[in-house]
Amino acid sequence: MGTDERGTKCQYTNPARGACLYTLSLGCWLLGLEKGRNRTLLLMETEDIRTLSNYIRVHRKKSGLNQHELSMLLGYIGDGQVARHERSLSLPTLTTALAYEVIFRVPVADLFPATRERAQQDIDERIQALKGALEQRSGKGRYAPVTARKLEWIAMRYEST
Amino acid sequence: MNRHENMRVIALDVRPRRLGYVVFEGPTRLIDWGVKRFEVEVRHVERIVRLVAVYHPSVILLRNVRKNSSRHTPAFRSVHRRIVNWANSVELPIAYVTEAAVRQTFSASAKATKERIARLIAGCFPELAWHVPPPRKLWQSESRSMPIFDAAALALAYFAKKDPMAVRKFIVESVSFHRPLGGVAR
Repeated sequence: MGTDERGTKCQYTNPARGACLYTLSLGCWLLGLEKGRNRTLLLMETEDIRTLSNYIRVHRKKSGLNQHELSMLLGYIGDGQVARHERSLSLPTLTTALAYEVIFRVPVADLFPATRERAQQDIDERIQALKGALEQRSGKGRYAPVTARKLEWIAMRYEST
Repeated sequence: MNRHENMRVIALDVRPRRLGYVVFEGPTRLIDWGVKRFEVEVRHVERIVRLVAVYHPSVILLRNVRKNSSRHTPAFRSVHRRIVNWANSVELPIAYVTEAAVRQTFSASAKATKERIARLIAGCFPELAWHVPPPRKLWQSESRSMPIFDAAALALAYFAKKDPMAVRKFIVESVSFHRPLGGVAR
């Protein structure tokens, strides 16, 4: 979720670009913009995003439950929270995410593939940064064995993936 | 792995005041489905825009309606033109699936009527089973949920065009697996 040009929160807005897909595409069509920056931007966005942010709606519909019933199972009073999760307007808490896993019998990583993918990318980047920092350290001294162990663990981690 | 297996498509069954849609990720994974009824024709595109914004499909599938077909009414043409104009404006590809291709996909064992196709699709995707309408009498209108099956048939026919053996195998295996539960063996 991001914030569009007017400052309103919108699930289709890419935070990096501040452009709302829904507004853009509908706007392009309504205004008759056949070519131009907006359309190019929209197309770039469409090419970029391929993974669904979550599969809660898919599994809910397969189960035949409606949002109200799913909210009841999760312990919510209204059904607004489930709707927000389905539309990726908000991320569920850890307890709720695990509750989704228990209800649908699908791993959390499969229910929220985009979040998992993003976490993976972030962690990979940080591990590379950590590895760089560790390699800068001296190979001598009191902490050298610990540093070696950390580097070994990083190497093993990459080998296993 | 076949590159079509993970392709996300939206198949649309467009009627002047109704829109049936299904979203598939490959031929075996049904993501979303539904029927929307409208008071005004312009709403079709609004709904499609919303679907496209959520699911980011690679292609939109439409039925190739012949000019001499009873479906080829002025109201249908108007809705169809709006959809095509919008898809062109955002350069989203549209693929047309013919009625013959749909019937060919589902005609392995018997004549493929709409009701039989609906039952076969419900056999493949049990989550759609409760949408299957009862056999229609001559004096009855078409069921409101039939556009879902028409759209699903378009999608499966599209995938069958890409990989006929995989789709046929999936249909036959699914139907034979679900046959004892009833509903498909008619």
